[in-house]
Order: sequence, then structure tokens, then C-alpha cells
Amino acid sequence: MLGNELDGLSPQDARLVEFARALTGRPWTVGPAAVEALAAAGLSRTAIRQAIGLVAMFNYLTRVADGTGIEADFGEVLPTFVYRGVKDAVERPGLAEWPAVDESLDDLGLLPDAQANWSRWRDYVLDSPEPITPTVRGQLRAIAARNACDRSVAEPGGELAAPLADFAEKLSLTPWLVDSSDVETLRDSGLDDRAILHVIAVVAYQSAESRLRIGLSALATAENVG
Amino acid sequence: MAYLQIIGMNEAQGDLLDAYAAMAARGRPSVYQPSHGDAAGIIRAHSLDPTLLRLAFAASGSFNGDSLSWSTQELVNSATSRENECFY
Repeated sequence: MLGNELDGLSPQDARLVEFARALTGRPWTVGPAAVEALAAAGLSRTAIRQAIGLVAMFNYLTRVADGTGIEADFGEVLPTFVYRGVKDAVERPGLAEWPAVDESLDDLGLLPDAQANWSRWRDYVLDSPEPITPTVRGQLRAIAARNACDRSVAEPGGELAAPLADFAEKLSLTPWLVDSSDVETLRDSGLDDRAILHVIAVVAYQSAESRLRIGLSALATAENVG
Repeated sequence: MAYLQIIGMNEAQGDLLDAYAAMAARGRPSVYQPSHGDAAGIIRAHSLDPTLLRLAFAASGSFNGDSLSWSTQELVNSATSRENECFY
């Protein structure tokens, strides 16, 4: 399913596709109404929670794929991916339009093992002392959260070096535009490949977490969800 | 060619080799095994940090439950990738 059309999809699948697109490309638009549309199509609270988690994870995985430059594995069985020539992300609104976000991830506990696994991953990505410092991780994280319109992450103090800040902006907003020259710029700034992987991981992780929080917050306040 | 150094299964040692073995033992449908025989690219993308590899995919695996069918999960994943203009 690589096309844009909803024709041929069941109403439930069509609502899921719409939700995945919104939470990915316009996360500030995802509120209780978006979740209620899924419930009206017959999805349970647990299924919606799972869908939110999947969208979040693929916002991580796609950024890791684009940041590291890995090549497609299944070219012999899947249709050729056609890039649409999109040059810009959807313009983000001002802070006043950002959705309310629950700062806890307690709702994840309702999926077996999810909360523990997510927490362990989070701690490693955001708190590891090397190969990049926790301060740099916090600064990278703030850029990714801002670009997801996630108000739960405060802007840390200090200024991030331009190559890192530019890379974080690009990977969080328009990951499909990252290319080898962006990674080379990070190398020229003194980072080795493992450090660059961690830069990618932090930005990708926060791009996922912000969407997870926005989605779960919408689920928590939605009505008529079974 | 990838932008970062990637260590495949044939070159892996120690923690990375163990991580690849653990990933291979997950019991995923055979359709997810690339024809080249190495770990999938998105797994190898993490090869410079086996701990990151294990933790990221443990988290990812948490969302492969039974509330959504496998095909519906892949639909959600594909829609997300498409929106991010990503082949993955």
C-alpha cells in the first residue's frame, strides 16, 4: 500500500490510514475527535492504542532508515517506491494551537511489556553519557519535540552547534530529504559514525515519543471509545 | 550505499552477533526475511550499537499485539512510511 487512495479500503482501514497520516504529518491536529472517528469505525480502545504505538514506532524507524541511508531490502517483491517530490513539511502552527499532552506514558502499561520496553529504550537514548552528552541529547530532543508540536518538552538552555541543530531540524521535519552530505557535515564537525547514529536515534526517538504522547492524550480524553 | 558504517551478520562479533541472533529468533513470518540472507537493513542500521538495536526493537515488538490483524498493522505502518516519504 504505497498509493494515496482510500478507495477499496474498508471504512475501518480508511480511518486508520487517515489517522496514521495525520499523526505523522500533522500531529497537532490529532485530538479526541480523531480517536472518536476510529472508535466509530469499530476499533476498540486497545486496538487504537496499538495503532498509536505503531505510528509512533514507524516515525522512529523511517527516520533511522533515512538518517543512516540504508537501502530497501525487498525490491524484488514490492512495487518500486515512487517519491512524490515533496520539498517541505506542512507548516507548523503557533504554540497556542498545539494539543494538550499528558506527560505520563501510563496508558502504555495497558499493552503487555510496552511501558517497560519503551522506558528502557527511552532511558538509553536520552540519558546515555556517551558517545554524545546528555546535554546534547536534550537539545536534539527539544528540536524534534518542537517540530512535532509537543508542548511537553521544555527548551533546554544552551545553544546546539549549527551542524547538529540543522541536522535535527531536517531529520525531524523532512527526513526524506536527508542525504549523505548531511551525514558528512556531521563527520566534518568531529563526530564518528557511532555518535552520528546516536544523534539520529535521539531525533528519531523523540519524533516517535511526541506522536505517542499526542495520540495517547487524545485517546485519554476521547468519548465513546469501547 | 549507506551513509554510516554498517556491520552485517558475516562481520559481526560479540554483542552484535548475539543481537542479530536474538533478532533472528523472534519468529517473524518468513516474508520479513530479505532474500540477501543478512539481517534486514533497518536492523543493520543499528549495528554500531547493539544495545540500541535490542532496546529499539524490543519497544517496537511491544506493538505487534492481537488487537489489530497483521495485515492491518502493516497497513498502518505503510501509511506512516508513505506520509514520511520513506520506502521502509
